Amino acid sequence: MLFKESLQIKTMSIVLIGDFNPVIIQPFWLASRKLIREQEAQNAHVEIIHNELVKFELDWVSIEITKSRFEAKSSQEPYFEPMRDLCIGIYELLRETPIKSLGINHLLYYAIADEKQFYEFGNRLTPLNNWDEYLTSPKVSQLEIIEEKRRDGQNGAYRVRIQPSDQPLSTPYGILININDHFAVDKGESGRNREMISILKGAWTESVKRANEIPEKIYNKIFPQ
Amino acid sequence: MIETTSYDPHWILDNPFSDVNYNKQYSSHLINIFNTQILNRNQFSNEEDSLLGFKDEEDSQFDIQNKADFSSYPDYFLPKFSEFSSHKIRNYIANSQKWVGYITELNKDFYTARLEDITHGGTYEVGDFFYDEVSKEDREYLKLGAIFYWSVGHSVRNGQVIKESIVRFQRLPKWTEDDYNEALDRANDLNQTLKWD
Repeated sequence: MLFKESLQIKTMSIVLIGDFNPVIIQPFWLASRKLIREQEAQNAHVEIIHNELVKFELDWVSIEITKSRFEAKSSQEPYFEPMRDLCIGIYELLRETPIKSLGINHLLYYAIADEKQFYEFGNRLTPLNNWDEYLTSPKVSQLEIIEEKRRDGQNGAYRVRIQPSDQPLSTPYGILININDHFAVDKGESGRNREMISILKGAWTESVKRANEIPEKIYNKIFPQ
Repeated sequence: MIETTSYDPHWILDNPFSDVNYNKQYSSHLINIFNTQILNRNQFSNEEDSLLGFKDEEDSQFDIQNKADFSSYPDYFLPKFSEFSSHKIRNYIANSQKWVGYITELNKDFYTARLEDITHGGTYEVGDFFYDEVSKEDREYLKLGAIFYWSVGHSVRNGQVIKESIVRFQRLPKWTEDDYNEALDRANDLNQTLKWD
């Protein structure tokens, strides 16, 4: 069985860490710069526009910006590339913005068929019989694996977190695989030369490919056919 | 930075992470600050019918200077902010087939595009698309070489499954003179590193 057949919700988020002026980025500013349609700006659901925090949602993306953090998030797969373009577009326009790190986050929600398989998923990742003597009925609540030095040579890290799903799925046995593909500027760099935006453009395809492959390969490893 | 009782340096705790849940605490803290500001502003407001105002004079005697826990103030009408990182996903599209298209021909009623498979990679195909399928505000992008995204799949909106085909044109800022100059500089730098036989 392919693990991806259990995949029910896919969310992607792009996180930038730096020094931001949140109040600039508003739906009508995006429309005036032609980064979104005017009608989308008119229908935007604005939660708050404040010097410290801006939060709004279009039909296909949610945006939250504080002075140190920008996040765009979507659970609609056809809009993942437009969301990337939106982030690139914003910071191509605000080109002096210092951005020190970038996270391309992949949140994959799997609906597991039954309780036995759900338990076994955690048990095979981290054998629970190691704990039998010390804990009663041990279970995995969260597992986090990190690649501290990126394999592509870029500065940053790669982190995979596995936990029970925080979203309701078609079965009660949901698993969330949360992948943080994290890039950072080199030590001493200001981040003003759009380094992170260049990485966002260049690393996107590989990031998506790797995030889709890892859960599948790990699943096949712990449940060999 | 997250407060910790750990003595040793730790990679995870010492780096500002760019994952989705990092700011939950910070965002909630900011929202509490805004609520305090709103409450303070309205305490001294003279507008009688202000939605955010106190119900009567007695209520305004609460000491709010150092407290932003609004669960104990049920009579105030404060804006409700959602928890960005933990809201339930009601509308989603997963497992769709996606292509990126490049317009190669503009005809009378349709345009032709070269389509690259984003989902599986590898091959490319050629497809014709009617102009009617392009959203009105995207029509200015109908030019030779324009890039668009096409996807076919099932969306779920509040539990209802809907079959969808979506065409969306790429929107990026136009190149400025600086962009051309930067590209020329990069090309020149690259040219100087090349060794010709």
